Amino acid sequence: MSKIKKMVLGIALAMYVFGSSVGTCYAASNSIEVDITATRAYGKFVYEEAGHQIKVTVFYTEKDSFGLIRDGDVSDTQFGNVTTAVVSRSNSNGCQYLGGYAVGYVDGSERAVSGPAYA
Amino acid sequence: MKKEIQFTSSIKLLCVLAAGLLLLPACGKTEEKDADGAAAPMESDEIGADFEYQFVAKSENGYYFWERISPDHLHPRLMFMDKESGRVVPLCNRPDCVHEGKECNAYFREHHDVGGGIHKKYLQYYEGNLYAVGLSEDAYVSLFRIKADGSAEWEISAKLYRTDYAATHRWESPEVLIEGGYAYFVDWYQKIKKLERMPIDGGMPETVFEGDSDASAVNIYQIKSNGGTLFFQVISYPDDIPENVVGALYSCDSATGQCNLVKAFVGPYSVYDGFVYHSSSEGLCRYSIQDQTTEILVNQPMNVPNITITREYIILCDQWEDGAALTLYDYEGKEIATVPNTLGLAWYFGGDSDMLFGECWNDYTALCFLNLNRPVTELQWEKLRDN
Repeated sequence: MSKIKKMVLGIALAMYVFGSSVGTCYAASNSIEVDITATRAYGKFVYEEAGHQIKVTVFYTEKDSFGLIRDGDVSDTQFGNVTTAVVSRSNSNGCQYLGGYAVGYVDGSERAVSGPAYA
Repeated sequence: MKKEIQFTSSIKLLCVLAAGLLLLPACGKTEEKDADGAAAPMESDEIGADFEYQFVAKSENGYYFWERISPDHLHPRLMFMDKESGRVVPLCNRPDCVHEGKECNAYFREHHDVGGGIHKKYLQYYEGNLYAVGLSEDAYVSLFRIKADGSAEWEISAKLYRTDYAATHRWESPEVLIEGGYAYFVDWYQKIKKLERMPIDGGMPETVFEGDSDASAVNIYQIKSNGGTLFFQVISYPDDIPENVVGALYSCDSATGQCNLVKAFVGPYSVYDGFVYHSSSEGLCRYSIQDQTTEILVNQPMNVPNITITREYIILCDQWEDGAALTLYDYEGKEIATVPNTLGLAWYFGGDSDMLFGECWNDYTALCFLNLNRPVTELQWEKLRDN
């Protein structure tokens, strides 16, 4: 086997090992949940590893007293030795939530998304 | 010696390629296609469309939109739907790209990322470019200009107003509409809101309408345009008593920036050719702006969230009611068809005479569309996904 072939195989092996470890890290178990009622939007994101910036955002739609539908989002960000971010928002001014979904972020990158929940 | 020649040739080839890449944008090329056929229309035109929200950008050749996040696509991309073929592709012109992840040209940095970026909802096509709203690195709500050719070229075209995002990590994306070379916007940080405008290339903001300063709060929203005129609704809260709330529809001449009261009402509306279409306790109404008269087209009380005016139909949509989500009427007020909400339509965006759009919620959120060119008996919502 030529030196070049060995080198290529070596690089491929290194990439596989490195890639596998990154994949394992990326797949650290996490859970995300969302709960929407007419008056409250709630989201929770749990990430297995501490020491990261963890954020949960609930994207919601709401209907105001004039029948107009609009969107919004609300977030909670946690830093340091924690694994959970929780956000809760009550509605006001005659608006009521219609539904929404949650997205979990780790170090600014999207890691989990929930299915939609209806009020 | 041979290696040197090869090396020199490689350098020359690289230089030629680099020069080609540099010259490409200056060629005035009107259309550039990638392996997936993402077209890049570059000419402006007056396009009739009646979108409730600027979440789908109509161009001469098709529609642009931001993909919704899902476990399969955690990094939402900028997508293009070809009007003729119906094909949906990521807006990326790199032939070697697999169109996944943050390396793809169709991916753009997001507003919460370091350095700022785009809030992936608002999108408008104007004179050959796409415009999105996001946050600049120094926390200004900004208008971002994106080249519509899949090259991932983007820049801040105008900084609209400053936020306290750096301290609070919170901001709210404003309602924005581009008309006549200006970006019209409402700063959500104000309690008594005002409608401002700024040239899309940046400059000083100009206030075109200001809410009553005696009110406890004033909201401005539902900004739409038709035939070069801007329309918007103003809701004033004189005090904390809901019954005292007053609302009205205003128009604004985009050439002069002059605003005028159109009609004292509040609620969903649409404007076309000098008429305001809105629902009321009396029914579906058509109000003549010039004559200041109201005609009741459908004599039955209704309160629908959305009204879309197309070439053939007046379309009412109430996606949160049971049963039919969409009802099509002709201009005499006769009901033509109803379309059931089979895809979990949760948020209706409006559209044009060819296509309607919305956000459907099944397992995960996704955009969906309805092709109005089909026979009325075959109208149905379909998922909008890359194919």
